[in-house]
Amino acid sequence: MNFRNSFEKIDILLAATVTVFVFLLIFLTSDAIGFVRDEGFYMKAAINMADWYESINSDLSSGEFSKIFSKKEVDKYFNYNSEHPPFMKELFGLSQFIFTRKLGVLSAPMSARLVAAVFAALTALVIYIFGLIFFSRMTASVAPFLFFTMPHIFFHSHLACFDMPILFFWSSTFILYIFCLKSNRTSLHALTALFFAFGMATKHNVLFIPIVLFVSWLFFYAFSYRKESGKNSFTGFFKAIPKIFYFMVIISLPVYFLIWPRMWFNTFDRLMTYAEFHGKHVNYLNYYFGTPLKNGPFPFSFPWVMTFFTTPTPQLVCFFAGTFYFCRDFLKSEKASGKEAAFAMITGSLFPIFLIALPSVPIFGGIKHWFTGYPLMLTAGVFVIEESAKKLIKTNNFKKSLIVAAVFLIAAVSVVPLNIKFAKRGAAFYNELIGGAQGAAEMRMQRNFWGYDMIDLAETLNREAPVKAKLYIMTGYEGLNQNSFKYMQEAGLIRNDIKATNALNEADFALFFYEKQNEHILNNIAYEFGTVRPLAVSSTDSVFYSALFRREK
Amino acid sequence: MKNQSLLFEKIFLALFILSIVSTFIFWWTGLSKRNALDPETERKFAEILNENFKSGDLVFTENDWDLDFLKGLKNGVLPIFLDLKNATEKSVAMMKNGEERVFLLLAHGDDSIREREHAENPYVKKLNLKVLKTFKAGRGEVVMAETLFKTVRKTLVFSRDIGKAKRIAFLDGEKSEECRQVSATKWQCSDESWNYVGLTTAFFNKQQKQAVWAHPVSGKTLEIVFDIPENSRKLYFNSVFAESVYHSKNRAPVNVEILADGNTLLKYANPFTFRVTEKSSKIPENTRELVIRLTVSDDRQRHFVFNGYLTDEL
Repeated sequence: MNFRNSFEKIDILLAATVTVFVFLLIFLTSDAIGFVRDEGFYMKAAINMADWYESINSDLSSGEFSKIFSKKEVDKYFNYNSEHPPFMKELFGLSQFIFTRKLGVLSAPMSARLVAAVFAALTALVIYIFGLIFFSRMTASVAPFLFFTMPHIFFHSHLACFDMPILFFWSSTFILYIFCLKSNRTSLHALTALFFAFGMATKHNVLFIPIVLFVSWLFFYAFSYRKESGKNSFTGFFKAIPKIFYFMVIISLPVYFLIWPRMWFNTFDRLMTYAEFHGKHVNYLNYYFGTPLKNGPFPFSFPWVMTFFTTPTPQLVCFFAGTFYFCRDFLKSEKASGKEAAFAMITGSLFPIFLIALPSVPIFGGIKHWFTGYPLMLTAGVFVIEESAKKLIKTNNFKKSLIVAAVFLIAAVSVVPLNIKFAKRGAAFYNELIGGAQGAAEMRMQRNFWGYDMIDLAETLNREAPVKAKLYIMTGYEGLNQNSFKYMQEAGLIRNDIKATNALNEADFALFFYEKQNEHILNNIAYEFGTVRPLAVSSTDSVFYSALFRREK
Repeated sequence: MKNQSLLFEKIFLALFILSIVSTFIFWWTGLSKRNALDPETERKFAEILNENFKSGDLVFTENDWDLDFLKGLKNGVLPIFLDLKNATEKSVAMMKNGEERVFLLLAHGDDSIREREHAENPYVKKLNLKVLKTFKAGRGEVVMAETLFKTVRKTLVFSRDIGKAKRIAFLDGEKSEECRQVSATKWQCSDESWNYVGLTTAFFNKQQKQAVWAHPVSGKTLEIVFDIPENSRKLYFNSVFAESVYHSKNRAPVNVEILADGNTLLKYANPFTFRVTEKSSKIPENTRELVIRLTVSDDRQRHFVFNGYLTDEL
């Protein structure tokens, strides 16, 4: 992993174009995707945060500084959804405070999705920088577009959740670590640790980073650094440890606690509760080739196979090529630091998948739980394709670049229809290797996730439902979350007078979100409503995902 | 090493080009939707069912992900089962409560099969059906059949006859909280949506079947009382937890006791597993009343369902 290029003037233009394009692409399509279950919780937490900023405002005005950070105040605003750290929720709340409450230009839900679009744009920027510095300008320009034309990525980029932000922090931290390996500048190590703290305060995934990186460093120390540097005494060992690891203790941890006021009180108990929640996380039932994965041990193949079938094939080839690149770099590097950098890239790319693959680790749902390393292997893969093509083409450099650019352009065009088809339900995308949506449905794979897929049904519902109609939303059966329903109303996607209910017997309309395990709900609705005829169906390639029913008896 | 590396690079480039080609072919040419039902087949499926379906009949659809034909169905044509591929001779026969027929909606009817009415369609063979009639339906085919699997005459079917229960109530010591019958198949026991006893469908050892939802409540006894029809000689009782609670951490079993005129016929604790507990018991002659009692120590996510029946044969 060598520095190949530096940032030039043209890169400012290109990076800005990529970043702004991705931001606009995501933000301007924010209302095309229904609200997933988790968003309901986070948007509610965002209201608490916006309230907190309001209260800070008034406390500052009245000079009650001590009140702001009192346990009572902190618990009031931070106890909700305490199983996740607050950084993203603080940003969602801040966005709501500014754009909804002060400026009145966005609905509260869309103010949260604005933050999601910002993180998508930041991810595009990081991919550009990573691509440019370690690979080439063409790779830097192509990789973000190939990244965001993966339907799962496009889908998650919209959500006011933590998954894309943690992807951003995960990949960026690994990239910054490479910089740290190559530079001993204290400021760089300190800034990396500071950056990492925000990742810790986003989601717990990144807590594995110091562990895997330090274990990897120890290995290289034991076999190489110790001899190379001569730092093989007891004190030498501590001197040899890269500063980043010290800063992760003396900067990351304090900043993490600063960002999470709830942890200032009853710290040990609350940390234990947090750790216990994730250590004993429930498993979400997933259908996998017709088998309901309900209790462990889970198949080691699960996340690997899911990645294989849920990534568009051009990008999938880039994943393999990128992994190959890192492995080759590991083998080729003569210096231990070069090997360690390559190993860090392999770890950053594959560790998230490996972790979920462990039979004892619960399956949390879709690919979002292990896609955090995708940007690394995708970018390297794009470079492998670029280099390989250039080596084969016998002409001048300009023409070579044109031809290679054309190949990437054709690749981008090839994935347009699948992105359009799955624009509203990227979480349901399967590639042609399994036969697309139809093939996956035939193979009894989990069809969709998180009860969000109702945008296609909303228009019919809004048109057909009488005033104050009651809508069964299937909460409790992986359907729509009550909060999500409420915020979809706030965002103007569902009429405000329609009431959500979990009692099918009192409903006038019913939403049915298909999952194999909830198949029987279709007939429950049919028995209750006297019909199995839907008013509207949400489908792609004729595979249905959800449907709207009206009571006929 | 360098040559090998170059070879890999070439392979990845070739794969990349190939992936572009396959993406174009699959997503641009309509291959991705090649197995969808065509509009004519969908229209005919609906038309045939609308004309021939009688209440209680069972409909299975081979293509279980393209449900556009449902849009053409008239009210009352239900239920539709999406699990034909996992259905077995016994499971289909056991879904029936009487003389109901079975409809198979087959996606790609084979002309040769249609010409020979009693030909051995794989599903007909697997489910051991007697074909009553086949209908051409666009590119597909609808088979109307009856099951040949020998079943006994059922004098009372809990799921079918839940509306005929004599009484359903939660007993709390001396107090009795009566459940209110809100439809022919449902008794509501409180304002909580889950707190009812009524018809549902659930998976019984991977087979979707009609069943009675009966969510018990901690500290109370859910009591379901039926009059026993004449000549009822044997009780079959199957119970399981609905798949909606696969993830539950609550391990509390549901205690089941079934009494005939006050004498215990069955008594067991249904463990928190997803295997069906299957029980049976003889019913003493001239018994008049059957009582099902359900209790639980911790009622969180106790999505308990049961089905079964009484027969006139031992």
